[in-house]
Amino acid sequence: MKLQIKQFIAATAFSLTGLFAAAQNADQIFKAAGSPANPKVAISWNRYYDHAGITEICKKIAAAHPELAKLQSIGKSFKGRDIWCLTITDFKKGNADQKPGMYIDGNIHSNEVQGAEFSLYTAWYLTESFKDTRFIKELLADKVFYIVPTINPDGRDSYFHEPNTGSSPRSGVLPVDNDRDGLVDEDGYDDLDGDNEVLLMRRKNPNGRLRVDPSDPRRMIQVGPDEKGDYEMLGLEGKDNDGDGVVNEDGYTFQYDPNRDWGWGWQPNYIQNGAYKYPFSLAETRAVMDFVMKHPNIAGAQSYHNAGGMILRGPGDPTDQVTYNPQDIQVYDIIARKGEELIPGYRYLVVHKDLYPAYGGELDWFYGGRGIYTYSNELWTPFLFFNKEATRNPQDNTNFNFDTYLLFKDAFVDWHEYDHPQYGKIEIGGFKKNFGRAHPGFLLESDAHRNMAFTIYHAYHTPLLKVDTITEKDLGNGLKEVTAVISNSRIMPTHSSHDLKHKIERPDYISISGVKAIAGMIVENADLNITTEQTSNPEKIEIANIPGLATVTVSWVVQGSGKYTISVDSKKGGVAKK
Amino acid sequence: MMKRVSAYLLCILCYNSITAQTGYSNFAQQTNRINALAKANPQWVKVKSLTKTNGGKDIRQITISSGNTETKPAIAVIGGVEGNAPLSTELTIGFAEQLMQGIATDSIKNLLNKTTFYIFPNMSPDAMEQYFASLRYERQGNAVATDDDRDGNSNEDDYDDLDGNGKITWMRIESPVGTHRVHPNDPRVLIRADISKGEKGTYLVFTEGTDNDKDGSFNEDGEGGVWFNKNLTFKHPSFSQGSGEFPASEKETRALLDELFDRFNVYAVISFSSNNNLSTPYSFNAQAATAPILAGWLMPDTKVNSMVSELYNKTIGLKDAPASSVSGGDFLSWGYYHYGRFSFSTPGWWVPKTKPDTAKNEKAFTVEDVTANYLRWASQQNISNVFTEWKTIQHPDFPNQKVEVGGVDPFALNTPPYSLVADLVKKHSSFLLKLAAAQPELDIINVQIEKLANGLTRVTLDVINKSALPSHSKLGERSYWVKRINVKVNNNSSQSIISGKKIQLLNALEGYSSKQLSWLIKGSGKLTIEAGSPTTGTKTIEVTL
Repeated sequence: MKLQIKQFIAATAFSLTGLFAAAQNADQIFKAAGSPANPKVAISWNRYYDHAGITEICKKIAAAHPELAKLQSIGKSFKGRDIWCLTITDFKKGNADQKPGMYIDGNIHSNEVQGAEFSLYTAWYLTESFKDTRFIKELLADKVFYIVPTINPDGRDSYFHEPNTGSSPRSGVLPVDNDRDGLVDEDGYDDLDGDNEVLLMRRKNPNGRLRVDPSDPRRMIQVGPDEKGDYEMLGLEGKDNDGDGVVNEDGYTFQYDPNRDWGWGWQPNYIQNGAYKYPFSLAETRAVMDFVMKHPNIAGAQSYHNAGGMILRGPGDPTDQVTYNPQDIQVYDIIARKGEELIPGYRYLVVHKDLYPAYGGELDWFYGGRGIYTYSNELWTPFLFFNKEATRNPQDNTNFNFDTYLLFKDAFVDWHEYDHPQYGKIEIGGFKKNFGRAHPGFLLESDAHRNMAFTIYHAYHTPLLKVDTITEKDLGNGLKEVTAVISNSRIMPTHSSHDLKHKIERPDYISISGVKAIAGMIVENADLNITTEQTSNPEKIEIANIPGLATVTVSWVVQGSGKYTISVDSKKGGVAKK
Repeated sequence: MMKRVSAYLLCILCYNSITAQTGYSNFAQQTNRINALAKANPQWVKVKSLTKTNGGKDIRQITISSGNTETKPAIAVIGGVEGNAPLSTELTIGFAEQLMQGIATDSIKNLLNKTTFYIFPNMSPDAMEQYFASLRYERQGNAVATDDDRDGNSNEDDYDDLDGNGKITWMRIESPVGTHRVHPNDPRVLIRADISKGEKGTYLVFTEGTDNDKDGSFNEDGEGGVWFNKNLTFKHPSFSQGSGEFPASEKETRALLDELFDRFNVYAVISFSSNNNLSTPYSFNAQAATAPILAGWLMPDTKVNSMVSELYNKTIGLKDAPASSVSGGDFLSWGYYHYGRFSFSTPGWWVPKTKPDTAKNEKAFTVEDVTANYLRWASQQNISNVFTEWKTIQHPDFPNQKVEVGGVDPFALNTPPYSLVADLVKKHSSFLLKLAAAQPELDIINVQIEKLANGLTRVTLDVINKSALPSHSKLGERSYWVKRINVKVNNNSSQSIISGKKIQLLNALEGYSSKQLSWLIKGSGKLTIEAGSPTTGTKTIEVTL
């Protein structure tokens, strides 16, 4: 027994050193504005973490801040990895799951990795800034954040640890017979040169339409319409594995699209490429759905993708305009316009018209299915190369310049020769998978901070309810009229307009206790005394909605003279009493 | 003691013979019949449970076939699509029993050597038990608690048996602002008053019950649940009563879908529900069939629907089916639009159109009405006790008003007297057998072998579908849950294919159609060429170069 205790102490001591070893002596540090100066958990925000790395960071944050962060697994991936969720709030103030909630996730597409770091940065920043930033302290008293860094851990690890391009894999790893021939993943990319990258193949060809850029030998450029080139491109690194005359036609990199597996406007795969069997037929999306269904307090949501510098709202379905009604679009617009201001280079866009039609996407279910105001940010934009307009167009050489002068050519694998079984003598080269869609290291923290600031603005404007004023009027005969004004001091209503239309969430309750309520009514106009009486259960008045930046007024005729309490109870607006 | 033994024997007999069945089977009886069938015919019948409902009832799958069941083209047969239709379950279990009764015959044996039947007798076992309960009403929802009126409370305003007769019928309240009037030819029946025709209502009509939660609505949030036939993924009617919070939200729905998505050999899905494209087939609607979100059957598939519908009508012989339309989330639509298979549904029975019995001085109805027609039919068939006479009661929500409870029995309009069931089972089984006889089947014919020169041979052949039904639905060509026809040349290392593909995938072959293929092959000796898909079976030929 003694031995066990000793071991336990030793283990605890070890883990504590592990946690805090990186923290500096406070004397050595001068605080930079707006950043945690001497965090309990030291994390480098200029690199990426695989699932084991994320797991460790989540555990460290939860261990270092037990009163601010709790870690839970909301389900398992197809391969059995935990899908971690950090609940961040001031657990000493109120019931966490009754506070208006902000849900944040990342990495639904395997290669769109930085959403996990952006989410983790948010969890880290909130917990580490709580102590000395009053705004964060108040925010965590009022709100709760549910942060799920990766909802696709299998795909994430596969992107890092298997040979891939910056754009693959997009899906998770559940195998699917896409070409319906009975064989699964029989001809994917091949890492011919064994560097864990899937690069480009080029071949000298006197009739090619490309040549080497004389100002940068790494870069291929199109020759003019009347010029002769000397190279041809042969596509992504690979060979014809199954001898059917086609290269790379059936790999594991696109089995299905997890962002087409959600329960609003879902369509089958012949309409929406990538759809699986039915909404939530994938383990990962099902875990998120289960979590959201159990947390009706989630009022705002954010999902992180890459790339392109976009703040996206739905609808993804061009025929679904009716769901996104004008009142809700107003809320969407206010928050997203602020986002454009906070994150230079990012534009506020609508999925179906500015991007492409997409049925059964995550943001559409959050809003259409649950009435939650939700954005997807496409992280990283070439604007960030030199803080001016640039494109991802292959004819735009900004990326080469950036790699040359700021990354010192670390992002590019130089062309090198290879003997290909089908193509003969070829050359392999190109940008590494960590460049083009993922942030370069030194820009990661700064953009994470800006995107976090946007989600904090979003979270801040989930409803904040307060029992504002209570007035009494004596009606004689031992009766009095009690009138209460309930305010919502933030932009979001307790029910989005879409929610109200379908009664997705129950009404808000405004209750009086401690005295006997003889009658209860909703006051439409206090000055002109226009009211609507609620004849049953007068002590608990049901209010369909408490609009943003507005008040509602209720009144009761009560009997008795004791002390009484007036409380408001809203699923998405939280609870308050007086 | 003697008595007990004979009771026991009688019981065994009723398990083994449907003729001993005297009424619709409740869930326990369904279980016994299914288990008895599997026990008596282990070579042909396999039973498994896909999941258990929240009500603790198994969703069963009966597989009837022989040998390797998954390599034979298959028909899926589904009952209990709607929980208020016990007939649908009788038709499915009855079909299984009919097959096994005929198992000694060559025709059934031969059929089961080339066809698999996946039978799902009851997708709504929680709801269907209400037919047998002490309080009977037409229920479709499962045992999951739902907030039907979305007010934050679940199951707070159920029906109430105000007249204590064990069934939920109707209540009518005399009112100068009534919505209903008395049927001119049958004073028991109430019909809606049409203000535009100058008609005036005299009654308000509600289902039997009180406003338990005092919200001004009657029986708007009773026990149960999600309706299977509103929980599927095609045009899911989200947020309507019984739909579930999102498509395929229920475990019984997912269990069936997961099972069927793995059964690539299914070429047709037959379900028994109020949706009906067997009495009257779908007609082609060009606009719906070319919409970005497909909403109409493709032209070649409507032709197949017509053919199968004709087969159905000829076999069943029922006329004047009530018009039916699908309303979203339904199984019939799922089977076609999202499963990509031929999908057919029928209620299996409906009240025939009656003629006035002149002997009884009956006259033709001046207003057509389903209840009036039913009551006339019931009386002509000497079916009694299906109508509760209107009786005045005191109703707490209508003090000082005249409230009467009565009306036609629950289930009566869509559930035939049990005496008709045996014949319906026979006819529907016969229809299913005829459908199976038309199942797609591949063959390879007209094989030509031309020796060109120096060990070079041209092989030409026709892959044909020698049956009436297509190899796949036209829509199935687009779905990756439908496997295509795969034509493979199995050559050895000394034989090489100079022209033509070693492996090629073909689109659907319509009924009685063919596709010519040819290869140039270098080498000598024998090789095989096979063509097949799960819905057609596989045919292999040997070629000598």
